[in-house]
Amino acid sequence: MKKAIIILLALTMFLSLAACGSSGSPKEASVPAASPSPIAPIQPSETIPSATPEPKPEETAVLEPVQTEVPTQEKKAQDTVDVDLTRLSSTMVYSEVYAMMYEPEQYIGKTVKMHGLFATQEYNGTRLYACIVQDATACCAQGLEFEMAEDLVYPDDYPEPGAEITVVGTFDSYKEEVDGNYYIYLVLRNARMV
Amino acid sequence: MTAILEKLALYWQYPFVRYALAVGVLISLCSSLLGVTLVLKRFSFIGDGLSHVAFGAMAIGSVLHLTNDMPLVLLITILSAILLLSTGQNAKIKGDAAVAMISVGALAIGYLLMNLFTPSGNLSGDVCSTLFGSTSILTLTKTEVRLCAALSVLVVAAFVFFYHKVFAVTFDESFAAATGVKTKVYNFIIAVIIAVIIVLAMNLVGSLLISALVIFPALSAMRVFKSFRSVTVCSAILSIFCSLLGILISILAGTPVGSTIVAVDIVLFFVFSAFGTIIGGVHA
Repeated sequence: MKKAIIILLALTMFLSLAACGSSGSPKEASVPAASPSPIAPIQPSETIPSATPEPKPEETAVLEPVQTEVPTQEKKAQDTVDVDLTRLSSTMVYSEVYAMMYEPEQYIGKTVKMHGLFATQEYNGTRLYACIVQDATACCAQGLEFEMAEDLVYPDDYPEPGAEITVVGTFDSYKEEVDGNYYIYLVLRNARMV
Repeated sequence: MTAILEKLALYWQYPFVRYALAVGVLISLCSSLLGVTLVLKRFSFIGDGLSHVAFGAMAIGSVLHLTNDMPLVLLITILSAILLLSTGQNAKIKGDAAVAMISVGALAIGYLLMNLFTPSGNLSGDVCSTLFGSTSILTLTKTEVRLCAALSVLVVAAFVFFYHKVFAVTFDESFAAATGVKTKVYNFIIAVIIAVIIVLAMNLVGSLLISALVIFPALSAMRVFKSFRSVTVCSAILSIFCSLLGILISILAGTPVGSTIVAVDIVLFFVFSAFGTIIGGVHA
């Protein structure tokens, strides 16, 4: 019986530690063919696949801008969503946004689509806009600032604070100096609401 | 069903989901092993008290802006565990009163420190996350995963190595002492292991729900099995199953991780109670 316990414990620990493996295996690197998603999730702490799978036409149609004058190059870039947070559960969204905050360098340049609550704030004479996501207990919140691709006027062209929005934009960061200290901020550039 | 499997396949590609499942298995294994000992020694509430101490220590870590507060939390919790378990019958403040005093004291001081020094702009979020473990397990860094794995291996190794002594101290401490077993030393080892488990389990279910992770699998197993060994093995299997199922349900349904795991533990407790009644098992 003691042997059985030791074998059971060893097996359990081996299996659980094996789950921490790196992305080296080909199984993890590829998106399952049966998956409905053409969008591979970003793996912040692991190797990001260099090529993003081409989305199916019927799914990209959802992301087509309705009445925007986004330059063709930007429009093309926004048609492919690298990180689609709208397809994840609230717990997953919160965790993924946390990962984006923790390791932003893994996400820079990627197109992010997220759904959350609209928030806005005046900061140093500049009006900032953000999309806020909450965790399952609704006590913790993570948000991402976004800059609209178009020149919109607040409050006429924006929703009410607290309203639900879906934003697509390119993930980027910028540095700002405050009292001799440098702060890094994360932002979705060339964003548009869908 | 296919949609759920496809969703799981998608989520599996996220490293933090794999880390959560791996750490969840390790923590639940550790907590269940010592859970049987704690329940039988009537120490169930010590886990709760120590988890509040760990919360207070975590608050100190936040105020000090420590990027990795686990070593500090571990040290304070171990010291408190030793203090609690070493206070004998001659102590001025005994047993449950000492546990209650340290428990609520640490909780209050922890919250006070966080409130006064405001480590982040989202105080209620930080407190809520620490107390209920809403998504802590899904936001672990690689360093934290490695530390959890190393501590879990140590805990399991210590349990296997000292299994017979722990068994003796658990069932009859006086008899064990009479036969030459150094009960104080083994109680000290048990205290250290409990503290390590508490600190690890805070990541999984939060400090308010740790006791559930420690006692439910043990109590469920006691409904059906009779011997210490079979209860321990069953408790370990149940605990791992509940944690895995709880994490999977929470990421699929978007529910808080800690409370979902405990809810699964509760359901399984009633299932095992019913099963135990039917087959006439031992009711601890």
